[in-house]
Amino acid sequence: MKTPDDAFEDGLRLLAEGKTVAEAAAALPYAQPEIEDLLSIANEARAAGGYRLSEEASRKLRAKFLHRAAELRETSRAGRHRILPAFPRVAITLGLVVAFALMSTGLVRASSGAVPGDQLYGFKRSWEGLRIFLSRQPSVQYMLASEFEQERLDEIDELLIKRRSAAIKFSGVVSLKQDGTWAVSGIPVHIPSTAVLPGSAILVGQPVLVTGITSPEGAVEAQRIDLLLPGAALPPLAPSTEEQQHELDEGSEPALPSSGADLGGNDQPQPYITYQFTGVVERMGASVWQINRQEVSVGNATIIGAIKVGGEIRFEGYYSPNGTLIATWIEAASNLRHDDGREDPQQGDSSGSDDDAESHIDGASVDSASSD
Amino acid sequence: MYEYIRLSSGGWGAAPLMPTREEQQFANDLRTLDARALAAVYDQYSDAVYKYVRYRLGDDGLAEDVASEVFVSLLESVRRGAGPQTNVRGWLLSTAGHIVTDHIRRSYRRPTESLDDEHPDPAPLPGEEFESRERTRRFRTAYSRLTAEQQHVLALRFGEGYSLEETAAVINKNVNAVKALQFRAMQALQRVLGEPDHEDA
Repeated sequence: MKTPDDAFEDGLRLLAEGKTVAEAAAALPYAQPEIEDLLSIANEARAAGGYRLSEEASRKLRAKFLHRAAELRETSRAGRHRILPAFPRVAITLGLVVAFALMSTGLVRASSGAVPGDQLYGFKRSWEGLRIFLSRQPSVQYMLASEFEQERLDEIDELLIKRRSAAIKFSGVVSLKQDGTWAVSGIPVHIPSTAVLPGSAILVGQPVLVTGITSPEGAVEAQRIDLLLPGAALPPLAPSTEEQQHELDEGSEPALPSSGADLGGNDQPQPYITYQFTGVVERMGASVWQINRQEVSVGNATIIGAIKVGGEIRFEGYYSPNGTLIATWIEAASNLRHDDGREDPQQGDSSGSDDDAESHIDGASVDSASSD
Repeated sequence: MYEYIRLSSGGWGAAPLMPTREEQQFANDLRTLDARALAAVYDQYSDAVYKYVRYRLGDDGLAEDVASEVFVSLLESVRRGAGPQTNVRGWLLSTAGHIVTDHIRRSYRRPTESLDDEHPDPAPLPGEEFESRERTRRFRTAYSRLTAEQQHVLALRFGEGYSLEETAAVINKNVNAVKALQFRAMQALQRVLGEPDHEDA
C-alpha cells in the first residue's frame, strides 16, 4: 500500500509527463479525494517560479562579485605586510633601500611587467612610490608621477586584452562620452547607473580619476569618477623619450618653456615634462586646436609645414598644472616622411623659421619619437 | 569519480546536482580567487541562485541583493579556507537558504510597509491575467507562512525543478525525509489556502 507522500510523488510524475490535474488524480484512485487538490497546489507552486535574472541585473551582480574578489585579493596581500606602517618613514626607506640593494635589480625587473592582481604588483607600486619619495625636486617627482600614470594605462590595456578582472584606479583625460561609455586616455570606461560621479557634469577634455574594475568584456566598469585637481599628474599620450628618461635618471631639472607659465595661467615657472604626440587635427582655432578629440593650446607653438584640418601631425607639448595640453612645436607628418633630404613642396607655408625648426627638432629627438 | 549522475525520479526537468568533473574543477579554481575562475563560477550558478532566492522572497530587487550576498559569502568562505569542497551548486543553494531565512527573520523584527498595498496598479487587468496574478499572490502569501525548511524544500523542487534525490543532496537529508517534508508542506499550503481570509492572518 502506497503512502500519501508516495502517491503525491506519482501525481507529480504524471503532471511532468503532461497529464492534467484531473487526469493525474483519476490515475491515482487510491489517493482520492485529497490528491487532486494537492496537485492543483503543486501546479501553482510551479507557476510561482521560473523567474530569471535580467541581463542588466546579472551584469551588475557579476561586476560587484568580481570587484569584491579583487578587493579580497588585495586585502590578502596587504595583510601580509600589515606590520610595515608601524615603522617610522625613515626606517622604512632605509630598509627598502638596503633590501633593494641586496636584491640588486632582479626583483624590480621581475615586477616591472606585473599588473593589478599579480603577486609582484604590490612590490612594483612600492618601488614606484619609493622612486617618487626619493626624488627631491618637485619637477622630477611630477615627471615620475606622470610616467607612472602612463604605466597604469598600459597595465589596464594588458588586463583588457587578457580579459582579466582586477580592481584598478587610473588618471586620464576624458576624450569621449557616448551612451554611458566613455573613453579616458584611450581606455574604454563603462559608466553604470551605480557609479559615483561628481556633482558637476564632467566634460570632454577634463582630467579625471577613474576607480573601477576591468571586466572580461574588454572595458573598465567604473565605480567612481572624480575630477582631478589642477596640478595632478596625468599620463602623457606617448611614452617618454630616451632623453627625458636620461633627465630622470640624472635628476636634472628640465628647461622651462618661456610660454609655459603664461599659458598655465600662473606667473611662477611650473615644473613640466615635455611629451611627443602624433594625431590628426580635427579643428583649428586661433589659439586652440582639437587634435584626437583633445583641446590643445597652440598659441605659442612653433608650426612647421602646411597643416590643415584632417592632416596628420606630430607635436611636442606639456600639460600645464590645470591640465591643459600646451603645444610648443607642431609639424606636419608629411614633413617628417621627407627626412631623407627631399624638400617638402609645402615647406614654404611654414609659419616658423627654418632655424627655429631645426633647433626644436634637435632638442626633441624626433627620431626617437618616430620609433615609438 | 565525479562523473555526471542524472537522477530522474520525480524531476521537473531538473538540472544536474551531483558533483561532476566540472563542479570539482570549479571548486578547485575557487580557492585561487582567480578572476577568470570566479567569473566562470558566477556565470554557471548565478541563475540557479537567483531563481531559488526569488522563489523564496517573491521580490525581484530583494532577490538580487540576497543573491549578491550569497556570492560574496562564497568569496569570504573561500578566503577563510572554507567554502565548497566538491559541490559548488549545493553549497551555494544551501547558503542561499540560510541567508534568506536570516533575512526573513530580520524583516519580522523590522517590518516595512509594502508599496503595493498603498499604491495598487492604476489600470485594471484583463480577467484571466487578474485571476492568474491573484492565484500567484494567494499562493505566495500561503507559502510565506510555511516553516523555513518547508519553504526551502518547495523552492528547490518547484522553483529550481530538482528531483527528490537532488533536493536531498542539497538539504542533506535522505529521500524519504524529503518526500515526507514536501508532503507536509503541501498539506500546510492546502490548509492555509483553504482558510477563507488567510491573507489577513
